[in-house]
Amino acid sequence: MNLIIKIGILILFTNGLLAQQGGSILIKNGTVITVTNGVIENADVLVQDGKIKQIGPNLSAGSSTKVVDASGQYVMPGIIDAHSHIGIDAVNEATNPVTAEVFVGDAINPMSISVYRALAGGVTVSHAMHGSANAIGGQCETIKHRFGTWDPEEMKMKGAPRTIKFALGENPMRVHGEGRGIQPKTRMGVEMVFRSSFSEAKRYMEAQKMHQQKMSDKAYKGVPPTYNERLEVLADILRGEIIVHCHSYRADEIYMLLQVLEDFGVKKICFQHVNEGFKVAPELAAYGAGASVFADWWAYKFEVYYSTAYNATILTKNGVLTSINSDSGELIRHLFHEAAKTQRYGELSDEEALKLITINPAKQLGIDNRVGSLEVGKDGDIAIFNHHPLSVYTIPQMTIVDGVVRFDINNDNDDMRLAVDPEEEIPAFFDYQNEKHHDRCMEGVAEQLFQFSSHKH
Amino acid sequence: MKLKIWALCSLVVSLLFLFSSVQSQDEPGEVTRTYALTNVHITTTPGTMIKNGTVVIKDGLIHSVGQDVIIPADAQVIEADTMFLYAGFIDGLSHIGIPKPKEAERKREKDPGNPTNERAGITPEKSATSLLKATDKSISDYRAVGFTAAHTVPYGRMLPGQGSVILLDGDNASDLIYKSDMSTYGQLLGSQGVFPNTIIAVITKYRELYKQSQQASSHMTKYKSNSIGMKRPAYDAATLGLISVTKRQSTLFMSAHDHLDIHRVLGLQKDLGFKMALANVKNAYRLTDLIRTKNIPVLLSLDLFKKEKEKKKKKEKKEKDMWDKEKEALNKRKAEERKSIEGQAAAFSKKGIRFGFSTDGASAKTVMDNVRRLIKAGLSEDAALAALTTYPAHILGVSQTMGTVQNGKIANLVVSKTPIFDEKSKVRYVFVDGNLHEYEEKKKDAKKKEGKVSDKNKAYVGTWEFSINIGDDVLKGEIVITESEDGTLQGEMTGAQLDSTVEIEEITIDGDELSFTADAEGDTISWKGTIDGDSMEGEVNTGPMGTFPITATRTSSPE
Repeated sequence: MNLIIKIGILILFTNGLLAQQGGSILIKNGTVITVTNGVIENADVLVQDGKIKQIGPNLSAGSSTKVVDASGQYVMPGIIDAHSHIGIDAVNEATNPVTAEVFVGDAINPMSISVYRALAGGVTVSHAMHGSANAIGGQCETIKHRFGTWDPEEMKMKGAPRTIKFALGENPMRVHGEGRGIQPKTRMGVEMVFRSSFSEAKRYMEAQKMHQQKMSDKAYKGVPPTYNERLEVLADILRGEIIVHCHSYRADEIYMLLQVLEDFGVKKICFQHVNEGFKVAPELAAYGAGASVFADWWAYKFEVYYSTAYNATILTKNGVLTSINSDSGELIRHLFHEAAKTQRYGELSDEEALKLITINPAKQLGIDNRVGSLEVGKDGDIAIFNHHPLSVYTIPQMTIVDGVVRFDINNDNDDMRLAVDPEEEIPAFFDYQNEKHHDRCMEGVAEQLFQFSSHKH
Repeated sequence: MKLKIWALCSLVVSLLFLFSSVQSQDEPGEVTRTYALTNVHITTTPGTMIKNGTVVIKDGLIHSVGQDVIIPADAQVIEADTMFLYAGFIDGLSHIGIPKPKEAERKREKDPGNPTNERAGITPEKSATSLLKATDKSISDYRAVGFTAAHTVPYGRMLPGQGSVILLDGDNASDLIYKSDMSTYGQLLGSQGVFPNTIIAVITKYRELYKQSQQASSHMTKYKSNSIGMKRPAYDAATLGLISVTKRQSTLFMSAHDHLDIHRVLGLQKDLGFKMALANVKNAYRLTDLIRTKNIPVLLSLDLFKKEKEKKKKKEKKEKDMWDKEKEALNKRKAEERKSIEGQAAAFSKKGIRFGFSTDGASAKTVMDNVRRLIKAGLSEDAALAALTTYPAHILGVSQTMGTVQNGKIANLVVSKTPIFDEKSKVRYVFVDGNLHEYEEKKKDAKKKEGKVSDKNKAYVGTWEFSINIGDDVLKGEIVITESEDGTLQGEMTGAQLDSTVEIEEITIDGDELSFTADAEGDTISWKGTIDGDSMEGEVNTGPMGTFPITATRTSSPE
């Protein structure tokens, strides 16, 4: 038992060392679901130095390459979750309606066991997001599930576009309006927070530009505008350098944000949750906005009573780039089931359903050139299942990130944590108060406000 | 040339002697400031020992060290026969001498997004010097275990303020100061209820403040050279307070407990480029190679995790259930982790990383035991001594005057009966700035102190055996209450399933009422008892677990 744990740790540690260059692996004789190029029966997938080198029958590799027999199994691209809060030490900086300057990438925690649990559900990439307490929350980080590394920098998917969290509706209204009596108290107020923030950022950019231009004049005695991290980030949104991911439920508000963004020339937007997205699907499609939804989860608060399990299907059929997300350390373990629900509610094809958890979220995160499908040249992020991934009986067998095995059901010991606290005890009961709740969108807010909130998302 | 300098130095020194001897006449209490410790084993620098030597201390300085030293006529001779003498210890980072501020009452902020710098915990301009109190108990507590100087920093959150090097002896705060405002202290700690609250806000705030500070600095330079027609620089204490860091004049000592903290502060340092030292490092053995290549000064925390208590072996169960196996596996991992943490100092040392210690958070009573634990885990005694003396002196920039036992240095010394790192070694004398502090061997039994106890404390002093009744269970333990030199009460509690002896605090007496608090493994318990002769009855509040009745009997008391 102890020896096994030791070996497990050793393997994980070695994997950590491999994280930078990527590993090599040959997966033989599986049913390869490429997502973008159909399904290939009895095919092999060869990953070399972290990248997919070849897909096809009867491939071979050097003797040093690890070979996995996937006969009778299904090989698909690693699942991507466009909305989660795992692997980070802070979710909400709920002290201000606008906190564009904060960045969850500064608080990556590679030891988080949730990352391993996600791997056990075939998920190789997740979008670690700021919470929804503020109208303009913090910047998010796209992480690769390289569980085994100790270095937070190695968890980051280098080169992934920058993203930021916005939030509409009740969360920012409750935290700031109800909680403190400041704007936004109403949905109108939320709109004004966006408009005034963007306007301020524009003035800041103009002042910087003016200063730059006048610098060449020797008689100029001005000083640059005081450096402001928040306005710098907002300016980057206006420059199109950051993708907005907005927490949303109601159709009227979704349409409101589209208008705000249009007024300020912001093109890159993906709505999150979007429970009433089906009502404005044509408008979303026309703007080129994405939608990342729950399969069948709603009615957890007033503004999200009106929804449907057909949401993903309706959005898809209207040409909206749609994904299904977890927003939860529990749901993230079976996103394949969540995707399968669209076949019960809406009769999407296998490919359409699987796109919701692979290439589509990749597009929403701007990383579809590297992940989201099995194609030569893409990252070796692969999930292997014992049945078709949309089958209710399927169980993930192995999850590979950059060609390195990060989860193997045959080497899944009781305690897979990287670190233990030398003083920890096994509690005799489950400590719900101190346990991290699996839904983390509003995490930390109650503590910061000294009041308990029953609403979570 | 050298000769000339020497001559000049001796002149200055002799002039100093002259002044101080004039001064000492004004202090009738003091007979002499000249001491000679004879027949003592002197560790002059880590690894170098003079056996059976003599150290002469004069006017606060080390006057002479060696085997053939002339003892001045006015010297008070201390026969330190076969005792062991070392340079006084230097605490690399602590709050010694600064009273711990009371937790402010948590109020709901109206606009928590825009707090004052004070409320936000961003006060890099605040000086430790201004907060010092010569009578703070921490000074005498740390001195009693051999510390003679400390780098002390304010309490606080993100940027608590500037650190000063102090001597652990003095009648008033200004006597303590050796080097004022010589560093800046930073933590990855947000403020409750206001921005920056979380780690993500703290890190981004460092970036912003740093750049604002650079801007302010350049604005001020321009304004100084030609202010006509130029907007005046704004006055912002926090921005201005950080300028010494952005100009790399002041080292930013960043508190970083574990490997994640270290990655985070190294990230900031890489982005911003300030001069940094890592402080309060507890668990970073995985980063040994990284720290070595970065060549950043390191202070290891002496606030080690509690020692695992040796449990009495229970009767072996014949069959192990699932939970036993899980517990066993976890205990094994925990033991390995403890071993690695205790072995961290040794591992650093073997890789050639030099380090000092910071006592931040650790009680004075435990620090030397913790150093001994590190030695037991493989750290050499020389490296341990260097971490207590020469290396902190080096990174604090006080090597010229502190850290070794050499002529001309400040007389900061510690003398112990047996080698200082021996298990039961006791400090006998401590010199700070040439002032003698003598430590008698503690008498274990309160009874032996009979006659010394003042009348007002007689009813409370002694050994009390107590029982706490928890349902059908009874927890037994012992409290020993003694009277300290200044007439106040102090005490310790053992037993009651505590891992170790804990100090009892906030002792208050009122007629036949005795109450106090104690930190029992993280929970504060409060005791309230009514005394009737040698028996006491009352209750103990254990916080979340509830309040339970107690009875106690005094088994030894002053006559």
